[in-house]
Order: sequence, then C-alpha cells, then structure tokens
Amino acid sequence: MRKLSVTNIKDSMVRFNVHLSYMYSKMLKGFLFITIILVPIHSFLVFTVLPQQAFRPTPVSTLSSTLWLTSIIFTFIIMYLAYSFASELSGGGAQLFLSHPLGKLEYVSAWFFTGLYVTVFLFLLSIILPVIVLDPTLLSKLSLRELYLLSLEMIVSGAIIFNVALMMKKSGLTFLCGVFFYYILPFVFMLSLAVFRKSSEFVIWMFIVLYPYKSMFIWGYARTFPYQIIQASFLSLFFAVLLHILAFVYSRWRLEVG
Amino acid sequence: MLKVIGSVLCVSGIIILLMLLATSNMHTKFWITSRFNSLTPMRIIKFNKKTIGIYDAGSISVRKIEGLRYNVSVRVTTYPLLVRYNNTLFRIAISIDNATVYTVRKTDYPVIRGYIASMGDTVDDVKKLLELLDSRCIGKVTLQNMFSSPYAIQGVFDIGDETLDSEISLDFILLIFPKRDLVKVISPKPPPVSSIIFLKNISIARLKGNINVRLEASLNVSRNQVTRAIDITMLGVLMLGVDIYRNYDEYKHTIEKLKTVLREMIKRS
Repeated sequence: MRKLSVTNIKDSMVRFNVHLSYMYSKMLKGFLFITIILVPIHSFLVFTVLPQQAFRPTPVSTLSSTLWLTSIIFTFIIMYLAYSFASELSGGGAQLFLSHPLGKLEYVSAWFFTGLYVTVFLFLLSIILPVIVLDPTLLSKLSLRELYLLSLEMIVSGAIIFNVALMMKKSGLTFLCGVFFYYILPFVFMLSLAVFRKSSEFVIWMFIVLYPYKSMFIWGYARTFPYQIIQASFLSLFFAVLLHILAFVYSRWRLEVG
Repeated sequence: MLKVIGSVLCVSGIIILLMLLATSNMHTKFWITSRFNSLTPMRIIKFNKKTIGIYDAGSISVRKIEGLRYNVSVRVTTYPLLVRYNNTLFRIAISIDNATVYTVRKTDYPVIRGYIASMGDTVDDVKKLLELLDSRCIGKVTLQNMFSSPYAIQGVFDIGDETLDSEISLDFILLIFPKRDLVKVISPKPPPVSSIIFLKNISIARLKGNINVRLEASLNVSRNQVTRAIDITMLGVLMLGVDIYRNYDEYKHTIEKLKTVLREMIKRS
C-alpha cells in the first residue's frame, strides 16, 4: 500500500513537472517581457539611488525608492496571471488539460508555482542582478528582511487572488479582486488607522497579516508596535500556507471545470 | 526551468550592460549625501594687517562603490549683518577676498585641528598651516562667486579613485581670507563719520552664514562591471545550451529554421 502511494506521488510529480515545462514554454514570452520591463528600471534605480543608501547609518528601508514603481507593475502581472487562470478555468482550456492524465491538484499547483513563485523569483532577480553587476559588496547593504517581507506580501495577496480565480472562475471578478487587494484595501486600512486613533487590535493584525511589507514602513519608523515585524510576519506566512492548503483541498475535492 | 532562468539571465545581462554603458555615457550626476553647517569659526587669526578665518565645514563618510566617480561641491552663503551703534542700525557685509576648502582624511584631521588650536599668529605660522593643509589634503578648491548674489560662493572638485579606500571619512576645512577693507556698509550710505572706527573693528568672527557640502557621484563604468554583466549573459547562454542539449527535439525546429536563415545569408553574401 505504501509502495503504491509512493509510486503515486512519483507519478504525480512527473506529471506536475511535465505540465510545468509546458507552462514555462507557454509563459516564456511573458517572463521575458517582465524582464525587459523590470530590469532596465531596476538597473537605473540601483545605479543612481542605491549608492545613497550606502551612506545612511541605519536605514529602515534600502529598497523603497527602487521599488515604488516596479511593485505596481509587478502586482499587475500577478493580477493578469490570475485573470488568465480564471479565464482558462471558465473558458474550457482547463477541461482539455484535465481530461487525462493530469490531475486537478497538479494542474492548480503548476499555476500557483508559475504564477506566484516564478514571478516573485524573477522580480527579486531583477533587483539583485544589477546590484551584483554594480558592486557585489553592496549586496550586504540590501536588506534581506525587506526582500522577505516584500515577497511574502506579494505571495499572500497573490494567493488570495488565485483562490478567488479558482473558486469563482470569473476573470473580471478576479481582476477586480486584485485591484481591491493590492491598491484599495491598504488605503482603507491606513485611513482607518489614521482616522480612528484607537483602532482595534484586530484591524492592526489584519493589516500586518495581509501587508507585512507596508506594515514595516508604518511601524518600522514609528516603533510603536509592541512586536517585531519579522515575528509578526510569521502569521502572514502561516496565512499564506493556509491559503495554499485551501486551494489544494478545494482543487482536489470541489473543483469543477466547465 | 533551465530555459526560463537561462533566457532571463541572458536578456538581463544584455540589458544591464546596455544600461551601464548608457548611464555612464550620459554623465548624469546623482546626489549622494550633503552636510549643512552654520559658519562657526574654529580660529580667527590676525597677522600682518590681514585676517584669516578657519572654519570646520563638516564631515562625510564615503564608502567607495565600484565605478562611481565622486565629486564634492561646496557652497558658502553669507548674510548681511545688522549692527546697532549710536542709535543707528547698520546693514553691513563682510567682503571675502579668497575662500578655500581643503578635504582631509578623518585620521589627519586631529593633527591639523591640533595645529590650528596651538598655532601662533605670525606669517610663518600661517605659511606652516597652509603647507600642512597642502601636504595632508586629498583635494582642495577655491570658491568662486558663481551666482548673481554677492553672498554665495561655490566650488566643485573631484575625489580621485586612487585617494579613496573602501570606506573612509572625510573632513572639510574652510579657510576664509577677507578683504583688507573687511566691512562694506550697505546702509545707511554714507555711514556717519563717528562710526567709522567702530565699523573698521568689526571682526570676521561676526560673519554669519552657512556651508553646504554636497557629495555627488557619476557612473564611470569599470572593466569589472562589464565583465560581470557579460558573465551573467554567458551563464544564461550556458543554461540555455544545457537545456537545448537535454531537450534537443523541442528546439529542433527552431535550430533548423536558424540554420536555413544562416545558409541563405551566407549564400547572399
């Protein structure tokens, strides 16, 4: 029985890998497009802005000035990928893939992997490569904490949007949800934090869980938050894992494609 | 995954190389850091009917980044003084004949500061100070009037690559040599005769103003940076090569197409 299940996992991994290779080929142009857009902007900003950070004694953020524009472009890319995922689920493309022998779990995992992790990896690569070329010793000045929190924020919000795409199978709704989570909700939270001074702890925790990178700016400067942002970010990590489990459980038992 | 990473590295390497060359050729200067201090004299020396004001213009810690060429821009702005004497309010300016900024390493600064504190006020002492500053400084600039305002003077100088270690701190010392007729009365004009002796005795120590030291840099691409960008591209090409070797069938069509195009190009040429 155990041998059988190990074989199943191996077969599943092989199918996942084959589908992943297919998705890479399909998305290669998109990935190259991301690179062509992000690398010049990051290169220019790294060459001109990062040297200033090397002189600051203890900066809260070394990358905020580099990322302010590209993070918006990047969130659009994740939203577009979730939109394509929902279109494929509702438009019949998914049915073709899932006919045989690809399982639902493998299919959804491949989308999550390419849509979230590969894009986040490419985004980080587009920041790190110009720094390596300019001066590798500057890598020590890059805040790993910042890169980790940024990736976590992208993955948490991205996982929510991909879950919406998976469960609702409506591309328009997925896109709107992306706009809401990436651009509107942070402002709503920040407004509520600013207007209602004694915001309930629940709102603060919600903000930290959903937006760990933005929380670093609010509580990293003010230092009024009683916990370390990194410790608090473990909750975001836990939430991201929960979202992934939810997506995999849903895809395994409840996913219907039409 | 090899195909994706290989292609991305290849494209990134080429783009970064182009960006390096473009940024370097544009000679764009970008702000690194600046210090803003008020003019507070370290020492005022009167010698041989002349006066010299010595000021600490602040310090900057410089971390050398490969391929960056640093330059220091110093601007001194002085303000007219309001002085009351015998119920008359005078608006006066202190005329500067020559102002020079010396840049010294933090390690040399205590020696110079010690000498300034203990030096006498003879011509020889001032000569020695100038010799000491000239021998220890890694750059100096004479400030010139560059603006329409008579109260602002500025100078810019490069810090050579060879003078910078990986991380050093620089101190800036400003020497101001005022004109022999130090005080220039702006109002009232002409000043009352009774006040001339008072006006002549106004010290340069009363000079009010500020010093703005600004560190800027421009990218001057180095051979190592070009090599690193090419390395990234070659790494990408290598990864693509491995992927082509592993999945030759996938690329067969593209390679055949490429071969045909190349053959036609060779035939035409």
